[in-house]
Amino acid sequence: MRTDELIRAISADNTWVRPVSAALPLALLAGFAICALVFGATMGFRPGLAEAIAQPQTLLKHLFPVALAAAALGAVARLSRPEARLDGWTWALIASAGIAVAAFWSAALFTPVAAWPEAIMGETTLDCLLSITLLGMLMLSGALWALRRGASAHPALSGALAGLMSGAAGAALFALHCTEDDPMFWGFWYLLAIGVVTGVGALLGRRLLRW
Amino acid sequence: MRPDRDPPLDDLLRAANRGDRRAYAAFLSAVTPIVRGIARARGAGLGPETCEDVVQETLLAIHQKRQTWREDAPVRPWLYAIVRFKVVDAFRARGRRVHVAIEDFAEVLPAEAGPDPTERSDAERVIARLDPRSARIVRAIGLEGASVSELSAALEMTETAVRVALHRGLRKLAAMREGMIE
Repeated sequence: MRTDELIRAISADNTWVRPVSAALPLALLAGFAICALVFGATMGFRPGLAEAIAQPQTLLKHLFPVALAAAALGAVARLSRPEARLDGWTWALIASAGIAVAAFWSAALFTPVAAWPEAIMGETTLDCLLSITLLGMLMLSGALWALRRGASAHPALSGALAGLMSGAAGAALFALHCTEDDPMFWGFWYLLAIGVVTGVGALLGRRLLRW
Repeated sequence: MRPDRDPPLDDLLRAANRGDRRAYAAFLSAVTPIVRGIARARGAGLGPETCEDVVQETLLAIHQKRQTWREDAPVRPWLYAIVRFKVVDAFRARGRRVHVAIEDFAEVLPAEAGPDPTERSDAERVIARLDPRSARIVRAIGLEGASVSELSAALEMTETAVRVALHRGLRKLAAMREGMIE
């Protein structure tokens, strides 16, 4: 087919498309709502949540995944336009993840080295890893579906950011249930679980976010 | 030189996104030589058929992703980013990696099409893979310049059905050409 013929065919197709800037946040919000419902049905809040959050180190446990999810959301939304660069969002991501790393090492400073393995392992490691990962995957599938409307020039990176956002959202939810407040536990395992979802997001994004 | 050409492109696409078909056709026609110039310059070594393929894939991508243009941002960077993405893809499909720098594409001269380079290209192969009715509709509107109302009478379909078939046909075209790169 000649190019001018293709142009004629294309310009005859005037099906209206909703601007991506409006559609994306709505779709992601819906995905998060579903995730929250699943969380409520299977896990639920820990007893004594309000008292626990009053402790600074526990407050950070809740804060950092929210900050990380928000930073990743901003980054992935920005990147869904083909000409966009991440610019300042990179710093927001690093800073948010840095909260967890800083919390981990601050706690480590006050813990005798011999007690480190025990502090890191905690009691609910498997439950934590699995729960965050599964919640994250649930959110990731919705996020990838929503992001297909976009046009990222870096599909794998967008997938990774979607995974980062989803994993962090899953961690933010799971934190409401998790009873382990030692930063040497959550600073390690939460980041690890988020990392897994990020990696899966990158692999899936490379295929699914092409256009 | 550039500044007084930019506003028209932005205005055309803005109007097109609000449903102005004539503005959309004008935008696509204005943009094609620019895209072709870039494809030939950055796609040196791909050959004329492949370059025209890149042009067509870019036009299809523009069509599929026109909602990703923010109206408060200039059109050209958005456009250049799409061409760049498609040029890199074209090299990747042929097993070659290439780095296309984000330089000022405005320096590249626009190019008109030569004698039809698409006959033996991917384009024909892909249209042939559409189902017969979609292919017929896409070709009739493109090739013969038929209008939707003429076609709906000729094929005994409602106008809406013709529009939907056109829209889906173009979407499948874009998806198939993307799929051929995997």
